[in-house]
Amino acid sequence: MDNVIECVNLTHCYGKKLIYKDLNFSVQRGKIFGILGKNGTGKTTTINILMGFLRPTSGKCYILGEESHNLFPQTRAKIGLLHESHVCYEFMTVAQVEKFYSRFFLKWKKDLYYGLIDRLGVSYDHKISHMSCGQRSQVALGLIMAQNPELMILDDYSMGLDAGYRMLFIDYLTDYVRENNKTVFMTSHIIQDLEQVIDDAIIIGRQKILLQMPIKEFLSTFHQYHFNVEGRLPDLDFDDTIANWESLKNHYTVYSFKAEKDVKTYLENKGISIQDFHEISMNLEHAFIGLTGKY
Amino acid sequence: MTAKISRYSIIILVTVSLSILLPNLYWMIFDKPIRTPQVSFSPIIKDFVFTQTKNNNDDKIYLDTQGNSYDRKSYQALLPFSYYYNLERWGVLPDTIEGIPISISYIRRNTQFVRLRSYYFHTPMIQLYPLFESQSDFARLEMPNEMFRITNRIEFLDARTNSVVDSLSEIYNLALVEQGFQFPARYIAGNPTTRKAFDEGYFIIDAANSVFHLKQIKGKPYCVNTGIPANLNIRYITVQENSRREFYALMVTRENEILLISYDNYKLIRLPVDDFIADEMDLLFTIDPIYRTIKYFNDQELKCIVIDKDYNIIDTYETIWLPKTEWTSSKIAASLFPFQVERENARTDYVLFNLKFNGWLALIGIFLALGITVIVKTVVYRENLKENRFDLLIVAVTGLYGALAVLLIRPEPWD
Amino acid sequence: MYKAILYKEWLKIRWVVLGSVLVILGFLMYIGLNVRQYFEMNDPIKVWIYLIQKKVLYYSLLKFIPIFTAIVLAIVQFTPEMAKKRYRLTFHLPFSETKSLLFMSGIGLAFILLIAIILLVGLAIIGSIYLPAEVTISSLISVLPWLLAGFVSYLATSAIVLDPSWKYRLLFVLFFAPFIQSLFLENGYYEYKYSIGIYFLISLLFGIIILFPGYRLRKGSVK
Repeated sequence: MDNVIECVNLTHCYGKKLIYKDLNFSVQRGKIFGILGKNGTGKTTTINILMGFLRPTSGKCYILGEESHNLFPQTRAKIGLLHESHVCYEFMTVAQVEKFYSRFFLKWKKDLYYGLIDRLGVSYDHKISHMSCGQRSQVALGLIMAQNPELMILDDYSMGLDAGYRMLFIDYLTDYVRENNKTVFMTSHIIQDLEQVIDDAIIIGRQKILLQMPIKEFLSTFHQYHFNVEGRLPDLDFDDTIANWESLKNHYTVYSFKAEKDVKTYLENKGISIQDFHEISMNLEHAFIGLTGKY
Repeated sequence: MTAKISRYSIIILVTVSLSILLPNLYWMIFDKPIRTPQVSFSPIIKDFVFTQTKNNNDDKIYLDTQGNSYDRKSYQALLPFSYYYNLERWGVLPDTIEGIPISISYIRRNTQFVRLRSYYFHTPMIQLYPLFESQSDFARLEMPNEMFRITNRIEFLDARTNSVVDSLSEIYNLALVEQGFQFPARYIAGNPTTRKAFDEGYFIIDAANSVFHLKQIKGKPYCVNTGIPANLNIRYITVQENSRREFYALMVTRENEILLISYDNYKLIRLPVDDFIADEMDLLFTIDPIYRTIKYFNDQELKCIVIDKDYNIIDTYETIWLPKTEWTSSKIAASLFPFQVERENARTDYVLFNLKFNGWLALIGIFLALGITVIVKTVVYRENLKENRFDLLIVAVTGLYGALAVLLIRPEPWD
Repeated sequence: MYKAILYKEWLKIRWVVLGSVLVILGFLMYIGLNVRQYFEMNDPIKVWIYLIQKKVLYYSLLKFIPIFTAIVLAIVQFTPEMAKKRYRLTFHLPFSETKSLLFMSGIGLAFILLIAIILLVGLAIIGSIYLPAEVTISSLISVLPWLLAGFVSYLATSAIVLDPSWKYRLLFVLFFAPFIQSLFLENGYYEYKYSIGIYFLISLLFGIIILFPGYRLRKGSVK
C-alpha cells in the first residue's frame, strides 16, 4: 500500500484552544481525499501542518515518505500546493507568473496553463492584482495544473469560482488523477460538487473528528429520518444511534448511521410516540449538514 | 544549522549594540564633571595659587601653598599678568614688578601661550599647504594661488586650474635638493592662515628625519637644513609665529620630550619636563614678562613647573585627585559591564571601535548574569539548557549584554 | 532557478532602482553645482584651505542617501512577500529556503552596491574637476562608513520586514540602530581610517541575520 500522506496522532491547539486531538489518517496513491468541515474547524491548519508551515502540538505527518516539517526541496517539486485564498504573486502579470514558475519544474505543462487561462479572456499582460478574486483563483489553479505534480494539495479550491468554472476544474481534476495515478488532498466547505469526486473523507466538527470513511460508505450508511411527535416534545440525546437531530414544533428530523428499524425501536424505548416515520434520501451536502448541524 | 548560526549572529550584533548603548545610558544618568583645579604662579607672592571647588558646585575658594585664602579680587590681584584689565579697572595694577616697569601693552607684548592636547597628535590632516610670501612689501599676508605637496618631489598646484605649476615646482625642487632633502616628506608643520602677524613658513621633516625650514622670501625659495639631530623621533611640531621671536616652533618627540626651536640658528631648548605623557595629558606652556609656566595634567593629577628666562626650574607644584575610575559609580559600572565599546574619545579625532575592559569586578556581573540567564531559561522559558549551549558561553563572556541578548532572542525548536 | 528568482525580484524592485539612481544622480549634480558655485564666488585657494583645514565635507548631503535607499528597497522587496502570507509561495518552491533568502538578499545588496559605485564615481568626477587629488580621495574614503550603513540597513530592514512577530521587529529596530548610528560619528574627513576595518568585519554578520526570521516564518513560530 503506497501511502502518499500519513498522519499519526495529530493534535493541535492554538494557545489553549483545542482544534482536534489524535487525528490519524492516510491517503493512498491515486485517491482523492477530502477534509470537510465548517469554517474554523481546522482544515487550513491541517494543510499548514502537512506543508511544514506549522508545528503540530503533537503527532507526526509524513508526505511521500518524508517528515512533513522538513521536506527536501526536490520533494516539493512533486507537490502542488494551492494556498488558502489562492495566494499568488499579484505584482506579476499572467505571462510573467508562468515564466517564473516554469523554471522550477521539469515537467511543466505550459499548454495546460494557457488552456485554462484562455478561458478567462484576459490579455497575457494583465496584472494579477487587477483581476477579480475568481480570475485570480483560475490563474492559481492553472499554475498548479501546469506543474503536473504527483500530489496535489488544494486548500478550498472553490473560492471565488463560478459554477461553470468549478465544474470545469472538477473535470480537469478527475482526468488528471485517473490518467496518471495522481493523488489529491483537498479541503472544502462547499460540498455540492464533491460527491462524485472524493473517494475518502474526514469530516471535522468543533474540536473533534466526526467521520472518517469513504464517501460511498458514508452515503450508504447515513440516513435522515422524519417523524412527528405527539404530546410531550422531548430533547433527544446524542449517542450511537442519534448522530444529530433538530425539531420544528412537533416535526422532528433525526440523522443516524443505524437502520430505520433500529431507530424506531430506540425512540419507542424512550417513550416517544412517533407518527409518520419515513426516511428522506440525501445527497452529500445534505448529509454533511446533517452531520455537522446547521449552525 | 543555518538558522541556528543566524540566531547567534543576531545575538552577537545585539550584544555589540548593547555594549555601546547601555554604558552610554548609564553615564547619561550618573556622570559628573571633573573639575580640574586652576593653578597659577603669582609673581607677587612668588608662590602658587590655586582654586578648589567644594562639592562640585560653583563655590570656589582661592588658596596659596601656605594655606592662606583669598577672595576673588585679591586672588586676581596676585596674578597681574593674567588679570591686568581688571586690575587696571580697579586701579591696582602695579607700576613695577621685580623692578620691571609694567604696563598693559608691555604685558601683552611679552606674553605667549602654547597649548598641547592629545588630539593634536591624533587628527587627520590632508598634507597640502600654501606657501606665503614672508617678506612682502604689503602690510598684510596674502593668500597665494597655489598649494604645495611633497611626495617624491615638491609640487605646487594652482587652485584656479587644479593643475601642477611646473615652473614653480621646479624652482622649489631644486632648492630642496640642493639642501640635501630626501623625498618624500615625513611631516610638514606650519600655519596655513593669513591671520597671523608674520609668516615663518614650514618646518619639514624629510625621509631621513632631518628637519628643514622652508619659506618664500621675495618670491624666491628659502630652504635650510636646520641641523636638528635626526635621531630625535619627532612626532609633532607647532610653528608659533609670535612677535616675541624667541622660538620658531615647539616640538614633541615620541619619548615625550618637549623642545623649542629657537631663533638662534635653530638651537634646541629643552623644557625641563620629565613625566609628561603626550598621549594622555594636556599641556599649557605660558610665557609672561618674568616667568615661564609649564602646566600639564590628566584626569587625576596636575603638575605645574615654573622656570626662569634661562629655563631653570624655580618651583614646582603637584596635586592629585580621585580619578573617575575610583568613583563608586565607576565601580558599579565595572561590575555590571565587563567591557564597553568606546567610539569617541577626547584624546583623538578619529572614530574608534575600542573594547575597554573594566577589570575583575566584572566577574560579579558575569556571575549574576549567568544566574539570571539560567533561572529564566529553566523556570520561565522551560528550555533544555543542553540545547543551545553556546548561549551560556556568550553570557559567560559578555555578562549582562549577552544575558539580555540571549533571553530576548529566544531559540527555536531546531530541525 | 536563480534566474527565475532574479526575474521575480527585478519585477518588484525595478522602479525603486530606477528612482534611486535618478535621485542620486540628482543629488550628485546638485553637489557638483554647489561646489562649482563655491569656486565661482570665492577665491579658489580659500575654498581649498577651507575644505582642508576646517574639514568641511562638501558632500555631506549624501550622508543618509545609502540608508534611505536601502530601507526603501528592503521594504519594497519584502513586503509583497509578507502580505497575504505570500511567503508560503516562496517557501514551497522546490528550492532551498536558505538559498532563496540569501539570494534575494544578495540581489538587494547588488543594487546597493550599484548605488555605492555611482556615488563614488560621481564624487570622483566632481573632485577631479575642482579639487586636488588628496581631497577627492578623502571624499571617497570618508563616505565609506555611510555606504556601509547602507548595506547594513538593507539587511537589517529585510530581517525586520520578514519577521512574523512584532516583538522581534521592535527588538531588531532598537538593537541594530546603535551599531548603524556608530557609522555617522564623523566631523571631518578620514576619521574612520583606523576603525572602518572593524566595523566592516562586524557588518559581515548582518549577511545571515535574515535566516533566523525566515526560519521562524517558515515554521510558523509567533513568539
